[in-house]
Amino acid sequence: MITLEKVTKAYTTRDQRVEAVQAFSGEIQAGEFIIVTGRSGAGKSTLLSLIGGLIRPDAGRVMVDGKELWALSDRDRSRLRCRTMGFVFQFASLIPTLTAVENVLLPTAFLPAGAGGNPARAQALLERVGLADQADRLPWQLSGGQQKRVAVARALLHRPAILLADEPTADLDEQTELEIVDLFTELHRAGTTVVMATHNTDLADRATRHLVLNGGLVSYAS
Amino acid sequence: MSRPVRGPGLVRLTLFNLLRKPGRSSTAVVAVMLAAATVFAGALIGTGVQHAVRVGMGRLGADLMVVPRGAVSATHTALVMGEPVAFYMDGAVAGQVAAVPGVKSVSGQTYVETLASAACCTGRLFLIGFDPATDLTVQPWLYRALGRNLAPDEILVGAHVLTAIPGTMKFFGTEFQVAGQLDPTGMGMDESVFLPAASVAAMAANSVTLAEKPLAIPPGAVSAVMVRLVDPTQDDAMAAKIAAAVPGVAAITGGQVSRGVTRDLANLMSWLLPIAGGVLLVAALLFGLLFSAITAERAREIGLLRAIGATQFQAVAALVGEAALLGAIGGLAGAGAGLGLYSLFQKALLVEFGLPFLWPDALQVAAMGVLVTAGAALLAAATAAWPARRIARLEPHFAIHARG
Repeated sequence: MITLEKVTKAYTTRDQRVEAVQAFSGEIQAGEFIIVTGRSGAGKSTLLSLIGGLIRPDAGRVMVDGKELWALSDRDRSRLRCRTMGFVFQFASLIPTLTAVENVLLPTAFLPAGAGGNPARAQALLERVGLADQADRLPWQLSGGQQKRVAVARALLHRPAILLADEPTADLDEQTELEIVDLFTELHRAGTTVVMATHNTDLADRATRHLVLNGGLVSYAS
Repeated sequence: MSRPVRGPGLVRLTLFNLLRKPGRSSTAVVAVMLAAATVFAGALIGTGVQHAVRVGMGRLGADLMVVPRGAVSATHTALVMGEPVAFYMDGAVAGQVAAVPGVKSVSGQTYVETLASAACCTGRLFLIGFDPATDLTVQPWLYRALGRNLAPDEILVGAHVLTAIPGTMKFFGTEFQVAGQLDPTGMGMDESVFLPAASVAAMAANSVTLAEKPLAIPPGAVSAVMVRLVDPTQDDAMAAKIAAAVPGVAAITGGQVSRGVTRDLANLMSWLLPIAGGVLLVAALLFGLLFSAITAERAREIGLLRAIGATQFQAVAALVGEAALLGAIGGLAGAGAGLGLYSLFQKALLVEFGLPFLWPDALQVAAMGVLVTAGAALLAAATAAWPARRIARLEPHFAIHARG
């Protein structure tokens, strides 16, 4: 379970203070599929980063399975991320020198031996996202949509309990977008907690909950 | 052909990253290489000069040398560089020196400068006539290598004298058989030719009819007296004592020669060290700037690694490891380049500064190469540590959303 207690995060630029997330409180139960929508700058990415421990809140607490993320050491927080979370970012974020399958296997560099993820599973995941025949290609040899699917496969390598996806379907064609959302739905049905930020409000009916953010505040919650 | 499928691991990531931008990696390697080459060449010169002095003075076999008072500087040049010199003093000096309390044994030497561009001489060389009965310098080698004394028409040549063995050389119209070549010392001995003093006298007598210009050596004269002391640690005191006891002479100790060489080495280093320091500074700055650019450009990648489980330490280690690897490659290349450059300019450099040089043994050169490589790797890692730490400490969210 993920718990957020009055979590606040603001960014200060040269002459401006932007409240990205304001006193957000809420709980995300294991196995939920939550879709977060809102305009650009509404705080969606920041909220996902706060949940994933990728950014320290200015105030409030974020707890994952009872552990307060920012009370942990960097090592323990990294280990928790590595073992329990999978991330898909808005930008494809593949390592340009690694092939598709090596990119999928990237988390194994930080997982303890035998903690999940092996070449056979990486290959199976690439097959699942429709890229079985692209495994040996380098990122520049793949289209944007293919790169995004490789990133999704990588996020699933170690069977994470929580999948955090920040605009995973941005810039993708409708067909690819649906395929990825279908995959997330399937994972949710299998018990994975999925939190996905998107501009596309049409996807909201796929989720168990829908949050709309505006100026760092929740303006709608179903 | 596809790569075998396996997890990338931090080491492979590092290697792949170096290959990603070969131009930039090469620039960094060249910067380190230049600095490492300068440092390696400097260390090689210092070690080689000290090695030469140690071996050369040991081979000389004497604790001090007695020469005419005005010939100290010429003797130093002859000893260190093998520059031919010729000066003489009364042979009775040997007996007077031997009579000084504290002197264990003495042996006279006669120096001859042969003629350049003359039909009667093989070339301009430094001939040293020694007394086989008392000699301390070549006699030990003779017993070890030939097991006998030199015949009157035989000579020994220093390691750098170009000749065939067996072969012949001609001085002042007299032909000699080359009986052997001495091991290298790095000192003037390598440029010298050794023969019995009696052969020098015979050659001088024959030169009147055989040579373009006769060789004039005062009868019974010697150029230097090699002295072995009862207590070698008292060489400075004994030098003063001999100079006081025997009129018109000066005594040169091994320590004086070493100090002279050290002075000349310091002179060379005062020219070389600022260059090495400057190159090192420029290389460190260039490397630091390059690596700052590399880390800034890869912020998003580092953020990604942090998000999927890399600790700050692992992220820093990946970047610093990359810098260390570049540094090590540059250091190794620099050691090789330093060796090559030094070999090319060795002669000009050492003659210009009047320094002896003897290549240290291969193991010592290899150890210096390892040290320079390790030093370059450490320096590169230290230079990269700050930008790497700055990026790795960035919260992953900001690193991922950085403009890359």
